[in-house]
Amino acid sequence: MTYLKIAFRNIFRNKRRSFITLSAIGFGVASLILFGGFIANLMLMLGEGTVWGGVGHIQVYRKGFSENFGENNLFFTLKNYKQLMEKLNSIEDVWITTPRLQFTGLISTGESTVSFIATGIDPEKESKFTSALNFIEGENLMGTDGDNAILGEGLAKELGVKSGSVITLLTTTRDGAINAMDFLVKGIYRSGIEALDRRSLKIPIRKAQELLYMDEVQTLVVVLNKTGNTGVVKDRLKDLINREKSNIEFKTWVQLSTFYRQSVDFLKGIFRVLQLIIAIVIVLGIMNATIMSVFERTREIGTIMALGDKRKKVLMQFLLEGAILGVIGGVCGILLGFLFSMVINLLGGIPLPSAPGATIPINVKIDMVLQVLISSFAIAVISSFLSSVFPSWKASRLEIVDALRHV
Amino acid sequence: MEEIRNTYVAEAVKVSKHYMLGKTKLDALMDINLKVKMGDFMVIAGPSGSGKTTLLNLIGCIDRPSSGSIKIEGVDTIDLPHNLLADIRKKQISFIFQAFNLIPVLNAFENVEYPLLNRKLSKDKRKELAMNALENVGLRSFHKHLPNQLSGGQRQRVAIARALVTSPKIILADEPTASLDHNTGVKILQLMKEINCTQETTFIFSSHDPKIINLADKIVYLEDGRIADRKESAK
Repeated sequence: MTYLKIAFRNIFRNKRRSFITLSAIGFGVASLILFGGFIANLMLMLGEGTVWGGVGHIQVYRKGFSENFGENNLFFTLKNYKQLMEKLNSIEDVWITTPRLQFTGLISTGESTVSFIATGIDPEKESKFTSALNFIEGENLMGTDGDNAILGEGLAKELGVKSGSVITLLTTTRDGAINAMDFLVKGIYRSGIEALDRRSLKIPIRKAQELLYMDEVQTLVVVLNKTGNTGVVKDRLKDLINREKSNIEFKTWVQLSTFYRQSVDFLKGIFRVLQLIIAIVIVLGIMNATIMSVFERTREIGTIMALGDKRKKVLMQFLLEGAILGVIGGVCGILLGFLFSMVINLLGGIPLPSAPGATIPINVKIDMVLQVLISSFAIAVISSFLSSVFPSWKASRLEIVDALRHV
Repeated sequence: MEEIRNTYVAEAVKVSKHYMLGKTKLDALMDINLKVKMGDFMVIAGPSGSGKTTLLNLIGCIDRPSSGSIKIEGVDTIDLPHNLLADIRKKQISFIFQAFNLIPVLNAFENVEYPLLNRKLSKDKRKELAMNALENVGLRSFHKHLPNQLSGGQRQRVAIARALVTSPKIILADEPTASLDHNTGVKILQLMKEINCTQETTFIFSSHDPKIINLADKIVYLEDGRIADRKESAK
């Protein structure tokens, strides 16, 4: 017989109370796992949405581009970008490298004129990975695709154009000259971000270069075979830059997406608040259970101390019981979390309306994240242990004669 | 001096114990002098509130006197810290309580084994000692029974086995027959007397039960916290 065995038996001595306490811990842990898994899936969707929505995994620029972006962005361009693309493509885990050239100007139909943000793209390569574009009319650019353009939904609406309409793009070149070109609207898309769709359009990169009188590009978008490889490829790219002393810089999709970073911080903040609330619930539950247990077993405490047990032993016995309650509650919580998440995922996830500024509703599933499982379990055990410290200490300080007299 | 130290297993020297009831001072014991020899079968008798249990608690080192000293095997316990008092209880003193005070989640064997957990003994040795103690009280076949599956007499026998298992110098029994019917009480007392005779274990009772008083070889009468009378019968 060990003290552990005694602790287990004492826990299940009052089955109803232990059941209620364990339920509180179990449901607390399960809710942490569910919410943590929900957030993880939401972050994953946000992340993948960011990457496959057009940002790619890594973007490579000429050194100084990031600092000067907006004002002199046509001056910080990659000259021998085709050669650089070959080098980037040779890096392990890189799937596609595609060039981009972004510029602003005015778009006109003859009747109305509005400002735009255009991106010159390689239609063939871009179509392989920009899965987030949802065409509500017409179709995507393909091949080299001549004088065609695709427009964001809001921009098309503002101009009153449809697929097949002709538009004129007017822009200022790097040297300050004004140039204009006509394009045929091939498709109207919805990217999921309303603000972007009100101003954005895409044309083939060759046409963009022609319009701007330049052979260069600003950005090389690197797409990997897996988002999880971003860190490794980032290191490989750093090595390449150091080795060849290249005049380039790069940013990962996390660095590029402020929305993603802010969303992650926001969700993590909410999760921490929930963790705190659950910890408080566990502390109160266990403290109540331990205080009741000490009260009911006061005479027993007096007896074992009369038999020669020291105060430390009494303290350890009750602490052990608190910790065991936490461990059992934590394990039950993990099992409940697994069960609930399985049911939710089988039912297709949790439907959510579109995020502010976005246009597409989403279905969020529950991911099982090891870190969340460990932290939730740790919260259960640590909270249980800490909450039993005070009642256990009080139990160990009982005077034997008073404890023996307790009825 | 050395001879005296070895002769008395417990001594109370000018022991007084006061309690505060609000602002009123209550004298539970006053100037008690008592010497207990090895193998004594002593009863501290007296009416309710005379201080019997208080004196027993002081001898058992589970309470401290307000003045005077309690010596166990010649060692003055008055200034000993909690841990050392616990060691003295563990090694030299055992208790039998009126309400048996068995641990409800442990079966008879485990209750008896419990005081041995504090000692450096193998599992097999603990089992042997606990089963022997249960055998001595006639409850070997009940070793797997939980306290609530035993009668009052059987529970008190388990409590006696628990008190005996560590081979203590002194067993303190506070009203051990008060919760038992007459016949069971007689049997329990006969068992303790037998142990006293065969194993020379010292028993100190607090009781006003005539059955115990008749069986005792030393009787100390308390009245209002003072020793009113002492009697000694030939063994």
